[in-house]
Amino acid sequence: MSFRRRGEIVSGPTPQLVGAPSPLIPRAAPNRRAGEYVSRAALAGGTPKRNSENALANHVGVKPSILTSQPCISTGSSDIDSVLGHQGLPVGSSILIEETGTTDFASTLSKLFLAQGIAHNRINPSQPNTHDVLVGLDQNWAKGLPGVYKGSKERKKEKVQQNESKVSVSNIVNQSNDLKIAWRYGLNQRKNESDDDTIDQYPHYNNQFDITSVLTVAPGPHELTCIPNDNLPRTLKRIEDTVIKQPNKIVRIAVPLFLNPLVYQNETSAPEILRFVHGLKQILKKYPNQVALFMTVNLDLYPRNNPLIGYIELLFDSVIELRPFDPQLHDLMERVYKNQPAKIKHGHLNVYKLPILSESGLMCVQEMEYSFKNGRRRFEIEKWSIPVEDEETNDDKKLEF
Amino acid sequence: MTSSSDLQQQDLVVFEDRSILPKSNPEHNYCTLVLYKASTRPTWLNVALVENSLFGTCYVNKTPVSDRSTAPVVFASLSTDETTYRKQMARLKGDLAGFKYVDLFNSYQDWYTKILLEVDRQSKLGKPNVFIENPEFLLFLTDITVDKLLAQLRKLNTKCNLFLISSSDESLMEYSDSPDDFATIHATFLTKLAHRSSLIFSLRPLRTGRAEDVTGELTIGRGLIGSPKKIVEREYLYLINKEGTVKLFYR
Repeated sequence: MSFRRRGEIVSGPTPQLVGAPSPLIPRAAPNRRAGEYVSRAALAGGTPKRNSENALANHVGVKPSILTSQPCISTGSSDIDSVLGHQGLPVGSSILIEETGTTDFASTLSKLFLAQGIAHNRINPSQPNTHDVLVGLDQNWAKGLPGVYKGSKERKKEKVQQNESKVSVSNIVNQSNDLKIAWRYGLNQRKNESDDDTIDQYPHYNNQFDITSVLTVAPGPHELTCIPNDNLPRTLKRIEDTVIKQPNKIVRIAVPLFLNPLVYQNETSAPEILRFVHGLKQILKKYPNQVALFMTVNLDLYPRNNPLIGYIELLFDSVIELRPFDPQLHDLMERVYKNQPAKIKHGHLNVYKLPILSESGLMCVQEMEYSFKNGRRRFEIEKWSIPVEDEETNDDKKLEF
Repeated sequence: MTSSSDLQQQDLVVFEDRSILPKSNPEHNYCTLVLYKASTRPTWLNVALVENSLFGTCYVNKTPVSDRSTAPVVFASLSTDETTYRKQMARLKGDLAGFKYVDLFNSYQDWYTKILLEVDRQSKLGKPNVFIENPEFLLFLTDITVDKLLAQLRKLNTKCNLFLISSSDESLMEYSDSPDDFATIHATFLTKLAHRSSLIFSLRPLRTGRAEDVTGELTIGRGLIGSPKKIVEREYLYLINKEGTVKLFYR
């Protein structure tokens, strides 16, 4: 029979091996919180060679790719992250979202991309870790970035917490109401740990956003820099200057509505545009551990068979097209799924390039294989299946004897 | 329909003597064109050609290559940075001292001087094989014209074997009425280049769309300039998996 000291918890949890190496996903090291990415140099005990590597060290919004172990950041939409194959966009990579038609789902995705950066930046206000760069649009557009989605349970919890924080007699009595015996047997602690296990290893990697809401405190210049596009070489210079000024942060560069005459009013020649995109890629590769690029372009203005778009696609690491359904198909879906409105999608999502995989020579084109739906709190992507009209009712009547 | 799993894996063979790159021939400098579509990047083929040049081996092949002669390599890209290629080269077992990367991605203005300097340096080890990826970007990033670019490439070709890797997407190959149009310039450049090349590799996806067991088609063909060594014109199907292994099959 063995005896335990009185202060010790009976049948406490067995210590887990923290920091055990895994082939793809590095686990939490002892001196950091769960969900913080640690660079290989840091894991090996070495010091980061460049300032930009510091941006990755201990960043709660970075996790290794499930395919290549390269550090990735979330695009703000978990479904887009999955489609990219790495569960995110590898840092130092770029994504081009193309859209046909008069809809503007791509701008929603741009907002999610930037909002995710702001959400990461605000996790620990004393240690800002992310900076957003918005090209071509101003602070007013940035004020529309969506806020983090709060479910009904979270809202209730918030209310309860608010009530508990108020000074009242009942609150003071409740504070000293802990069950000491339960504590002795570690029941409270065990309950907390079982909760922790269910949380993902990278709990802050991505958030769910409510696109009908806005960030309660609009992003300020310390977390989002708006860069005008009146002169593209100057714009490039300013983007690079901003990256240099944020040496220990991940910099998310968003270029929404690229080449849209509403935003790009100055006359710009095609070679100038190509030089700008090439310059953006140069910045990405110059600061590979710090910068990610998100650009959207409308294909009605510049279709895919336009050679300029062909060249731009060559320079991007990943290319995704949003192609909303034509009205006939949309009507058919509404008719078929009249009792299941959740199944009605908004369009096809085509994949043309994927980061790292396409570069290595893999053929990643997936046309008409996915469909998307822009919901209030999620940009949903599912495998596309053709809706089939149910005509059984008529057949049944014929078969009746 | 047969799938690649039913087919026997083949070796990459370019010349009649089962070699991949031509032996150093003082009288003939090869100009090779590697054409690709955006969905079938030729990175794996570039690495295979570089490996064959540096070590005389080829990671794609099961049987040893007949001609094991080696030559230094000068590699320059206007669309991809050095890190990307260094990562790809890491799979090669051997000393990469004979591999020189010229950074045209970050500074392309004095591209010709930079490459020529490296070619002169590497010439001490033998006639170098020079790879230039996406030289067509120079037509739009700088003020150079198609004819001037071709003249400079031809001048370079007098000192080395030249491998030009270029995109041949449909959107870039359509002539238009405007002479300043991207597609017109690109198509003119590639057509003129094809007339000056001795060997053409072409990579494209399957016409029928995406398949799980085939990545694309590789065609090896003669250029319009004759080659002293007979080229085996052939079509392959190839399969690349996520681990980076490449398998070739006869079409």
